[in-house]
Amino acid sequence: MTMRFGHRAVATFSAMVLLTVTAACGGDGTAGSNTTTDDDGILRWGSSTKPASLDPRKSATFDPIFLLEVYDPLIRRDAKGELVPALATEWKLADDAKALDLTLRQGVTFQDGAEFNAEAVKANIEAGKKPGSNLAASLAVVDTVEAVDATHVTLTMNAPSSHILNVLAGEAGYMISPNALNNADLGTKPVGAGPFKVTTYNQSSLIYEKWDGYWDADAIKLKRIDMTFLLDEATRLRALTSGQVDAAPIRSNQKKEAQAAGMKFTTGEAAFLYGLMLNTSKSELDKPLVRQALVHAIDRQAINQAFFAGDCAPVVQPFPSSHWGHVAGLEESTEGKYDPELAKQLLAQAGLPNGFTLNMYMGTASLFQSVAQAIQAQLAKVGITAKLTAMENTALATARRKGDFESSFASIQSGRPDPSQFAVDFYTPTGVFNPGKTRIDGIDGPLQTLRQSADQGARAQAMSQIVTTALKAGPPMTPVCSALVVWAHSDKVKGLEIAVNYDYEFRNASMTK
Amino acid sequence: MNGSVVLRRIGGGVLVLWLVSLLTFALIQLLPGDAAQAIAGENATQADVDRIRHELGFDLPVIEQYFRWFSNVVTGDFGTSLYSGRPVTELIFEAAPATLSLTVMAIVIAVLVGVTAGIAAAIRQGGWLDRTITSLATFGIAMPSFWVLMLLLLPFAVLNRWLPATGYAPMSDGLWPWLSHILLPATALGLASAAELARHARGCAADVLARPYIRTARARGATGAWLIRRHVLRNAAIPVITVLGLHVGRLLGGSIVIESVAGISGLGTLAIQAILQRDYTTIQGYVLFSAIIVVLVNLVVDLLYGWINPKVRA
Repeated sequence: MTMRFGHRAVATFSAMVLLTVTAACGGDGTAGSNTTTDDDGILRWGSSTKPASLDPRKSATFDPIFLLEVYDPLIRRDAKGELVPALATEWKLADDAKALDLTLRQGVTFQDGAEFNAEAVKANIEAGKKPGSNLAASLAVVDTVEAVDATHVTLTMNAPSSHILNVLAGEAGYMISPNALNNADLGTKPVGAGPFKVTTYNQSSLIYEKWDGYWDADAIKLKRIDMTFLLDEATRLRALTSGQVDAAPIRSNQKKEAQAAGMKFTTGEAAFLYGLMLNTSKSELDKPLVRQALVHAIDRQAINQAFFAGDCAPVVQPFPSSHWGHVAGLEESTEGKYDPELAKQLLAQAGLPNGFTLNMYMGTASLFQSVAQAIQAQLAKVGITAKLTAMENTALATARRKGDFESSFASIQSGRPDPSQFAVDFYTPTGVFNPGKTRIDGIDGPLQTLRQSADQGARAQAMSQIVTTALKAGPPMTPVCSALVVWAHSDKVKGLEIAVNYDYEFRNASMTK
Repeated sequence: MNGSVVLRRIGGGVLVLWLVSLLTFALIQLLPGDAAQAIAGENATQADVDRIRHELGFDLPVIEQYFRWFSNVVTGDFGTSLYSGRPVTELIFEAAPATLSLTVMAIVIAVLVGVTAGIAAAIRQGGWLDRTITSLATFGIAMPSFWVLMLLLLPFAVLNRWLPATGYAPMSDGLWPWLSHILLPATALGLASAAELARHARGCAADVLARPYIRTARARGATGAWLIRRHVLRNAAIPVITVLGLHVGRLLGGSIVIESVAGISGLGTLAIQAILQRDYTTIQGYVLFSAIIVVLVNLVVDLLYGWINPKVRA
C-alpha cells in the first residue's frame, strides 16, 4: 500500500497558509468614527478582578467598581475626589466635628420599591456598625443616628470626625434598601437605589441593566453594562484587541500592543502606590537613620522606566500629584532624593557601616517579583542584603497581620475610606499596619486637625505636615512609585473617567453608534 | 463481565473517593493562613479574624470538623462556599459544563488526530510520513498546552476574527457558538494526548500489520481500508482506551491553565480561586467531583476493555 498526498491536499494546504498570511497583513479597515450617541448602548467591560461581595458591608477594597452601578451613595466623590451631593443634598458638620446633619433627597425609591428616607439611612448605618460588617471599624466613631424627620438625619460622633464625610462617600454610605438589609443573598443579589440593576451574576460575568426608576435616569446614557471576568492580563488584552470587549484596564507595558490594534486610552492617577512596608520591631528597622537610608537607596526613576514604561511616578509620599494630600517637590528634596552615597553615610551613622540583612516578602505576581529583585539590587549597592521570598496573598496577609515579617513589597492603597485613615494605620502606634508600634513625633496635632476640620484647605495643610514629618522621621513605609491607571478601549466608548479614589462609576459613559 | 466484579470495582472506587477526601482535608489544614483571613481582608485585626474563625467552626478539633463535613456530604450537602456563601454544588454545576466540554472535545480531537496520524505512520513504516509524524508527536508531547493555545489564538482569533479569543458559550446558545469557543482551547489541550496516542497507535498498528494473517488476508484480495477497519482499529482500541482513561485526570487538571489563557470560567478557575482563598468547602467539593469523574471513567474503561478484548474478560 502506498500513501500519496494528492494534488488537492497540497493545494488546499497552500491556500490556507496564503490566506492566513495575507489576511494578517491586511488589518482592519476602520471607518471614521461616528459621534452619535447610541441610546441603546451596551458597554462590554473586561474586568481584571472579581467582586468579593456585592454587599457593601462585605466587599473588598477595590469592589466599588462593581457596587456603584447598583448603589447610590449618600455623598458622591467625583473623579477628582471632591464631594458632591447624591442621596444627601446638603450636609453640615458641627463646629466641634462631633455632629453631622444631612438633608436627604426627596422622591427617591429603592429598586425593590422601598422608600428612601431618614429611617432607611438610620437602618443602614446601624447595620453597618454590627460585628461582621467590614464597615464597623470606620463607623465605630458614630454613636447615634437620629431620624429628625423624613428628610433629615443627624449623626452624633464620639470624637471629632470630619473624615466622616469621606466615609459616607464610600461603602458606608452606599444605601441598601431597608427591606433587603437582612437578605442572606444580598452579596449576589444587591438592592440599592442606583442607576442599574444586576440581572446576571455568575462565575464568568456580571450584567447590569439600566433601571428606569432611578431618580436621575435621564443622566444615564448606557442601557447595559456587560462585565466579563478576565483575570489574566494577556487574556484580557486579547479579548480587547479581538473585539470581544469594548474596554478593559491594562498594564502600561501592554500599551504598545493595544495601540497597534487601534485602541484608545483613558488614564488617571490613583491614591495607590507600590512601596515597602516595614516592621519596625524587626531587623534594624527601629532606627530612623536606617529607614531614611532606605528612602535614599531606591532609584525610583529606574524602576519606573524599566517596569512601568514611565507610567509609575516616583513618590516618597502616599499620594499622587493630583491628590490634595500631595506635597510638591518632596521627591527632589534632601530628605527624599535618590542618593546611594547618602544612604551609606546614614547607615554608617546608625552604626551599620557594613550594612545589614533584611527579609523581604512579596506577592507571587511577576510584577512584584521583578520589582522586588530590582530593589534588592539597589539595596545591595548600599550594603543592605535583601532576602526575597514570594508568598501568595492569603499567607502574606496572615504573616503581615501577625507581624511575622521584616519587610514586604506590596501595593498599598492610601485614599479609602479617607486619607487620614492612612496616617492612622501607618503612622500611629496602634495602627493596623504598624506592627512595630512606632511613634512619630509631630503627627498627633495635624491628625487631630484632619479629623476636626471639614475645611479642605486646612485638611490639605495638615496632611502635608504629616507626610513631610513622616518622611523626615524615616517613614515606616518606604514609598516607591504611584502607578497610572490605564484603561484601553475602542473609539466607540466615550466618557470613561478614572476616579482618584477608585470611585469608579460608568455614570458618564456612553457608546457611539 | 459479571456483576460481582463490577460491584467490587465500584466498592474500590468509593474507597478511593473517601481516601481522596481525607487526604485533601489534611493537606488544606497544612496550608498557612485560612479562609478566615481571606474573608476578613487585608485590613482586619486579629479580633476580626478570630471572630470569623469561630463562626466558621475552625476552632473545633480538626477531626470533628472533618466528620461534620463528611456527614453532610454523604447526604448530598456539599456545604456553601466560605467566601461567597453560594452552595458548592451550584458553583460546581455552573462551572462544570465549560470544563467538561473542553475535556470531551480535547479527547475527541486527540483520538481523531492521534489515531489517524499513528495509523498513517504505521502503514508505511520508515517512510518520510512516518518520520515526520513521529517527530511531530515528540514535539507535541513536549510543547506546553498554554503556549500552543497562544500560538493558535494569534492567527485565528486576534489577527483574523474567525474564532472568538476568549470565553465559553453553552450549547443552548447554538452548536456553532459552542464549537467556535471551544475549538482552539480543546485543540491545545488535546495535543499532548494526541501525540501520545499517535505513538501508541503507530506501535500497535505496525505490530498488527506485520502479522501473518494480514499477509494471508491481502493474498485473498483484502484492501488496505478494510484491513485497517477490521483488524488494526480493533487491536489499537485497547491501548488507546487505556491511555485515554489515564489521561482524563490529566486533562481535567490541565484545563486550569487553558481556562486562564482562554478566559473560560470553568472548574479549573474555580479550583484555583478556592485554593487561594482557602475556601475549603469548595476545594473539597471540587476534588471530590473530579475524583468521581476519574473513578467513573476508569471503571468504564475497565468494562470496555473486557468487551473489546474477550481474552481479558475476568
